[in-house]
Amino acid sequence: MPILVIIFFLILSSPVGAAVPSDDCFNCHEEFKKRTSHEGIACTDCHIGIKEIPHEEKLTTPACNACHHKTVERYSAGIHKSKGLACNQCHAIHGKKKGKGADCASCHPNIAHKALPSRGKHLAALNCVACHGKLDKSGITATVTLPKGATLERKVVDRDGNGFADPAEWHAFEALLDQKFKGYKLEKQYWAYGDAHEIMPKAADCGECHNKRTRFASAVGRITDVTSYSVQITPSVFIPEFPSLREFPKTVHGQKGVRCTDCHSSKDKITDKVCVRCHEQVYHTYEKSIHAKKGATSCTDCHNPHLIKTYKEFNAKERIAICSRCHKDYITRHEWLPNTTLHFDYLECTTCHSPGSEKSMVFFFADKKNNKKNALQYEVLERVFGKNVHLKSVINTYAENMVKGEEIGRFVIDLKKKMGEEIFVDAEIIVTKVHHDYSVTRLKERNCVTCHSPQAHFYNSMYLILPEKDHHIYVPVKGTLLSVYPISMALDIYVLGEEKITKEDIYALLGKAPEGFPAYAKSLGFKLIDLVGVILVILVILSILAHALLRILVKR
Amino acid sequence: MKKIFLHTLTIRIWHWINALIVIVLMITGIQLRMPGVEEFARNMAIWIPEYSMAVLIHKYIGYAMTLSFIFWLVYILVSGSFRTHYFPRPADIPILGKQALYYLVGVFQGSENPFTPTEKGKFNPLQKIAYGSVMLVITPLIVVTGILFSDIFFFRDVIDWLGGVRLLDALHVLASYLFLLNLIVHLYMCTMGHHIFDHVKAMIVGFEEMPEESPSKH
Repeated sequence: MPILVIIFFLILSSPVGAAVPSDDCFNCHEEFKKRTSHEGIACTDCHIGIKEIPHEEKLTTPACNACHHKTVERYSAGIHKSKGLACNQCHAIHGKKKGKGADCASCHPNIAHKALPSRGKHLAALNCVACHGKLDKSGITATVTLPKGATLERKVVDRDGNGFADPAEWHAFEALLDQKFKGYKLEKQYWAYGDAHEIMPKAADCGECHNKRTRFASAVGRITDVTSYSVQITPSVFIPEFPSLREFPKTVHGQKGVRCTDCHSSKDKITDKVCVRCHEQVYHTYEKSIHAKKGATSCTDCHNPHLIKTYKEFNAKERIAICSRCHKDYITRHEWLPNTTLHFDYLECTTCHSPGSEKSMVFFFADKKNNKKNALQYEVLERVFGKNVHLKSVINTYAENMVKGEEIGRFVIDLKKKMGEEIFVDAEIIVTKVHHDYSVTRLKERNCVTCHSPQAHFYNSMYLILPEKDHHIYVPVKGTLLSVYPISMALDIYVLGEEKITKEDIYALLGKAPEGFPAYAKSLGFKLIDLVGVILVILVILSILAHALLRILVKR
Repeated sequence: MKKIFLHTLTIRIWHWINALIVIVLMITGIQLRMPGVEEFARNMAIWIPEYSMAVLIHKYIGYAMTLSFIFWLVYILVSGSFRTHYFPRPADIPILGKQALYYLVGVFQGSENPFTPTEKGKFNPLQKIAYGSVMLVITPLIVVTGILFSDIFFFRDVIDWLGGVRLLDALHVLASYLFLLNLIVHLYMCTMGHHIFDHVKAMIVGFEEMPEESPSKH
């Protein structure tokens, strides 16, 4: 009876259907008994040639792809396969570790990565597959751990509520952390998951991360305080823009015919001496300014010579992002300004801090879908108005080099019918002619009326920015766009203060009397409140004076 | 002479605090609306705050105004003063014309004021309309639009729903003009007591002295 029980357990413990039980193999190959890799698999499952013991001396090579079909398929596409490497050269098939191959470094120790710029940064942050593998998933996670008990609302990070934090917003957020959340932790993780089996013959091009963003295309900020939440971040916050050679002809330098060797004439680092060869005047203006002496000392500190766009292609936020790389605390430094963050939605730094520059009020078409404000791109407008459309000629049918306020108004109403009610005219006050003296740090005149008055200088210089195929054009705007619409039905900007009545308005009104009076009064819009209000106040005071005088006369 | 008790201590204290708030808001408000006033005042050697300071004063005193208004509203509702003094009654209608006529003509002829303030009703129908519209329509409108202005970014959804910041501004300013008109009339009408400062005195000591059996001119 005990013998029967032993036999029963022996049968149970041996793999079912195995021609030769593994235990029999271990009689000779004892070292494999301790394997943890492929642990639950019988020897003969892979070594299929063995039918009896002792087996033949020469065995067929086990076919890994019988089980690891997909992996082997990916491996076949990679460089290692073509170099003739077999699975067991990286994987300890009978070893202890489970599932993990050899480290890349075990075969490739101390790779110099000589050609890789910013080598230290890249190697510290990235794993091998990030550049050398075909990636399944990759991204950047910035984890912010706030000090205990501290909380931070989402809208502090994503101020405009458009769903992601752009560079300017993220810079301001980092400054806020420095100032108000002492002891916080910010960890950046550049994670890349790919199959290490499919290693590419050539590492990924710089542009895959820095320009086309086929790798590390998304970035997420995870803010952990009492509650934890995530905010999408524009990846260029963490991986700077770096155009590829293919894109260079589209850049300003490229378009003007600057060749690589015009600047890169030797292997030395590019200095201002290179820039000054062409940009002499600007350089000398800048050279003398405090900014050049104390802050950004070389041109490339602010300017990326390989940049795709000219400054005219940048909106206010993108312009702020350039300054906020260093001036991260720009929001807290402007706390004296009422509605601080709102101002930064419509202004750029140099709107105030570059007195020599020409500033303009610029208008552009945007939509407000899902409460996210986005400028209308050319592709979207092309779908409505047909291929290769020039919006300028749609808005202004006379071939003038300008558009009138009313024309923009009519166009928006039409656009709303075609594209939905979310369409509106957005506006910003930005520099349209650059002067390179940024010496003004503390403005002496912190006076709201500089902008918030009908006399504000930018009303004399207004442009409509229209998207064209590869660039934007600035079309001068004539007339008053702001007072065309009493209620902000099309216009989402309102510089409080420009609706006040002025002496000029009153003289013009009196001059138009009596025939043109009603029409002109109507065109004044809300300015009429002031006019009627002041007239009423004067009338009431006069009648009270008359009443009082009469009372005195009759001694009552 | 008999003493008629008109204003409780609470209302008297509130009135003068509120008066101070209104004056500050009016001055800074005018300055914000018409920045040219600043230069004018400088030339006349009158001190007014700097523009950016006026912005802050207007904002924070505006919050004080909000609290003051809420206090007043709760007080008149809880104390029953709203029912007693503000609520229009059918009996008011026939006096309405008489009251207006008195102010326009009667006062010069030495006629008697058709209305006598008592503890059971201190406002004549015209006053009910004026104070009612100032305190229950104009002030709330100013307060609410002002609060929305305090953080345009935070209240953006509400403001857009209302019709935009442009309309908000128009409402705030319109209401302010109406308030100013009422204020001017109020300041003049307070001289219309039996003696010129009677009403002002009443707002300080709480009661008004009136000749026995003979209603005073109001």
